[in-house]
Amino acid sequence: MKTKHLFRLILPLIVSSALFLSCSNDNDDDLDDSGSLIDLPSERTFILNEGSWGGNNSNLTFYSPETGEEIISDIYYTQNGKLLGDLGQDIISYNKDMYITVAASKRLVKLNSAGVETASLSIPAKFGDPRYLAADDSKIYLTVYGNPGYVLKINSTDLSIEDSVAVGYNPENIAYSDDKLYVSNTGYGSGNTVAVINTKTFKLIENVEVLINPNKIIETDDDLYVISYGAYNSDTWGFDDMLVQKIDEDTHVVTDLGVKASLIAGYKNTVYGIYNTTPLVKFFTYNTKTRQVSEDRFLDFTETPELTAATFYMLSINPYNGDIYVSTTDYSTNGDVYHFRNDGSFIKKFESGGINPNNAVFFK
Amino acid sequence: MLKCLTTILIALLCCLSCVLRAQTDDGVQSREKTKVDTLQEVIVTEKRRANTVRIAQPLQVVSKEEIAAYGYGGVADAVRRFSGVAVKDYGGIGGLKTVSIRGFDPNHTAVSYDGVVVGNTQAGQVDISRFSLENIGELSLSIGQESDIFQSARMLSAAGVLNLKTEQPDFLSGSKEALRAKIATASFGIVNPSLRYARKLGKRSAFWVDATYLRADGTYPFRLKNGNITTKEKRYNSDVESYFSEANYLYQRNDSNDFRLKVYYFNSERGLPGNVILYNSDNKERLWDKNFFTQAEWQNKLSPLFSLKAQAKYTYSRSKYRDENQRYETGEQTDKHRQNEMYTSVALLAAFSRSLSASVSADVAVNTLKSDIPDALDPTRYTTWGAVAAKYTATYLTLTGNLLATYISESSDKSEVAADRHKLSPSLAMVLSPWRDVNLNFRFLYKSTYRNPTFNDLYYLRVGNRNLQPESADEYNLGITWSGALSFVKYCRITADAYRNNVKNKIVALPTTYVWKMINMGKVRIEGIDVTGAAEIPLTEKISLNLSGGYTFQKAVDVTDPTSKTYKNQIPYSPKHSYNGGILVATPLCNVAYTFIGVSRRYVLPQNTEANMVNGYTEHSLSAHKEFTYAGCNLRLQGELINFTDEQYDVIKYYPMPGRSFRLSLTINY
Repeated sequence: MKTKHLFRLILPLIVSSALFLSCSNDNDDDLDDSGSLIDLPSERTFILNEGSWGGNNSNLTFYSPETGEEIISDIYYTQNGKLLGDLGQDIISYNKDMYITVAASKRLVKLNSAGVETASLSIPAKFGDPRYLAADDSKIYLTVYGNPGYVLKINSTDLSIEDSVAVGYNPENIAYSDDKLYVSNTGYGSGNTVAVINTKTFKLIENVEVLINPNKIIETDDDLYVISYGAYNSDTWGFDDMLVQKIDEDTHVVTDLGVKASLIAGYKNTVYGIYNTTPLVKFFTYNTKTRQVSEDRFLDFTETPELTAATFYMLSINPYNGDIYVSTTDYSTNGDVYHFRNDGSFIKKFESGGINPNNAVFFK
Repeated sequence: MLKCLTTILIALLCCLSCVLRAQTDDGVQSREKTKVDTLQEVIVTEKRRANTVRIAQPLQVVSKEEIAAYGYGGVADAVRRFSGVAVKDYGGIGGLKTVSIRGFDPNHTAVSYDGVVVGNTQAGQVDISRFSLENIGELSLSIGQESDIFQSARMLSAAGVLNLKTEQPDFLSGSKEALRAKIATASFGIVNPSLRYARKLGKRSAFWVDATYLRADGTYPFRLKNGNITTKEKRYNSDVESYFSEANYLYQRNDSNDFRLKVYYFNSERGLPGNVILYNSDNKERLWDKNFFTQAEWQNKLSPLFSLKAQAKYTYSRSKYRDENQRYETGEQTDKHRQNEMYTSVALLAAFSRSLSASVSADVAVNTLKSDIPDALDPTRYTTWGAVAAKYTATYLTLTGNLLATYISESSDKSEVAADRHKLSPSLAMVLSPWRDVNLNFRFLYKSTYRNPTFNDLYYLRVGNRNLQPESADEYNLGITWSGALSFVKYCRITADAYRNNVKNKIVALPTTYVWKMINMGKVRIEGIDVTGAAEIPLTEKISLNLSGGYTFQKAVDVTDPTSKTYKNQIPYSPKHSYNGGILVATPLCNVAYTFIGVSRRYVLPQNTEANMVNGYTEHSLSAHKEFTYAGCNLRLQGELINFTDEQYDVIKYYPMPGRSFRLSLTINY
């Protein structure tokens, strides 16, 4: 337990300096470390590595943003003595816990804020692979594949399935906003709607029409932003029309922002996007107040020139301080994670503990 | 006839009066060496051994007798014991099994069945699990190529050739008919009966048929390690049911003038257990295969100078794959593929003198693929091979050289196809035998070789890339061989080879920004040493001991990009060390054999991290058999205890292999 010793050595230092710097930073109430085999600093970043198909090599990497030094490549294994499974699809943090869908293993797991598993759910055979997560009011909402696919309503404490509602064919991302869930009906590339579900009645209330093949969907500043991947172009070996659209939360009117993105994330009044294209990766930001799109790069690549032409796989923003985390992948070796401040300045690069780092969650 | 069969099969004993001479030897020697023998006149007193020593190309041979004595369980089980070979085994009873030679992809291995290459233009690799061991007379693996220059041109195109030679019946006792029935049963619900019937037609011709049936539940237990937790699990969806049948006709005027005709049919249905997915054991993939071919070979010595050999083959195969999963629009997906191959070859050999001969050969193949997957191209491929070869044999030296030219063009009614491709590949081999009375030899081999992109590489859905070029490789081999007798050792053979292979333009699946694409980009450097040995030691007058073994050291590293995380990392599934061995004790009471095979750790993915590692293993097996005569029939009873230490291992990670199991068989020769 090398890391454990390391933390034991460093922890008093961190704690004392934290106390010294800000006496109000004692946030143990926001964390649940019961059953943890290791001591962890209070600021925590957990990165989900999807792994490669069939490899049972999805895992969870711990990173301490405060020092940038403590990295545990597979904290799920460290804490639970077993492996996470095959294809970790999505991770969210909700209250003091983390929830992870492991798609090919067909399971949903609940971890406390130290990565200790406290509950798990095997998705019943009648539903397809679990995909993406949203949470509100002690409920976890999960999309599962199928034709039709479903959104499952799951008790956040014991992970029991309380209800399900049918949506389109093979739904992917899901976002929550104001008693409503927004689900992209990919139709495996042929869908063109976002399903809207009322969380109170748990009924489908509308299918909002968007561009073909909707996928990523987020909520920022009370509106929804969705990327439609468009159709595959066999000449360019890619999806050329990954257009970002805004869905007005009140009217459900869809506006094309006129920019392309592979990944999006939101923080306060800003939507951030990265578009994997050749020869150079493109970036945009959208200001939700001024409704202005900027195609300036929001990250400073002076120290990381390799990022100008990389394949980005993750764009996650720490909701507590706006720090931006991106990852790159080659799909077969461990991905690299880059940590930036919200102003775009570079802090740290490290190799993740697995292949395809796709999402990060944060405890402050 | 039928009545007789029924009697044999049901009663498992035979009450008929004729004894067919026990199998002794069939063609352990290559045709080159059997000039004086004819089919009717073979009288074998001493066991003949294949010449694997005084030969420029590393050659390993296993005969039917050895296969039976060591109790190998199938073609793949016998082949994986060759040095320098890795059989990729996806577990289970009916699992896919492909052959890799010296760090090459399986696509670099040609599989020849009675002298004609078995094609698979769609995927490029041949699943050897579909061949039955029951009618195999000899298995051999030659690296580089065969020393016989009287070959089809296509045979020269691969980095190595796995030769399956079927057993030819002998009618030594003067009887016109021979019948052999075998019933085998093994763990996991395996039932495997087989039958051979042979008949002499007149003085110069014969025909024989083989039929084999195999079924298995395939549900076997295994131990699954998940982190620190080990659980007992069962392998499901690993069932198999297959039929194999073959008919042969031979007309032989003399040894250098013959005509052979074969018709082969194979049909199987199997569950594909897939890799073990943690927390989810629900796999529903199934595969149906049908394979039919007919091949003819005609060989004629036209004059003292010229000999002609002509081959023709037609193959039809179809496969159906089905998977059930909610992710498919209708809850299931079915893919059907049909492949056709028409192939013909003509080779002309000129024997200018005792020491110098030359050959020229030309082959043509037409391959088609029809698939029902969306946007399938249904391509047709026309391949032409042309080769010239020469061989010079002197007392101290044998020199073989050849030049192969390949031309490939494709067409499709539906879309644009890949541009025509051509390749010129030379090879040179030499063996020096400095001493007349000591069989100590030095050998050298260089071969330029390649593998063509398959239809899948070029055209499969989004992955295929029609701009692919052939993947090319250079093979170098330096070896030393010796065979002879020592004071108490009747026969001893040792071969040691050092080799290096450079692979360029390796065809790899590379992720582009949005999709995986087949691309020519990898560079691999493979360096290794193969050592093999065998010895026969008579312990007493009646008890003899046979020892055999092999060891391979192999460094196969990715040298594509010095800045990459995988630079100089061992390529996936290439162990540094692999080894095998066998001990056979022949006594008047019975024969007992012990075999082992093992490899060191391997990596699943290009990056050599601990998470990507799969442990090494050693598998030990025991076999015993006894032959006896009962009611005028020659019976053979054999039992095997496979993996008796119950080692839990994976050849391919998360494809667990069975633990300890048994096999029992009874063979009746009438």
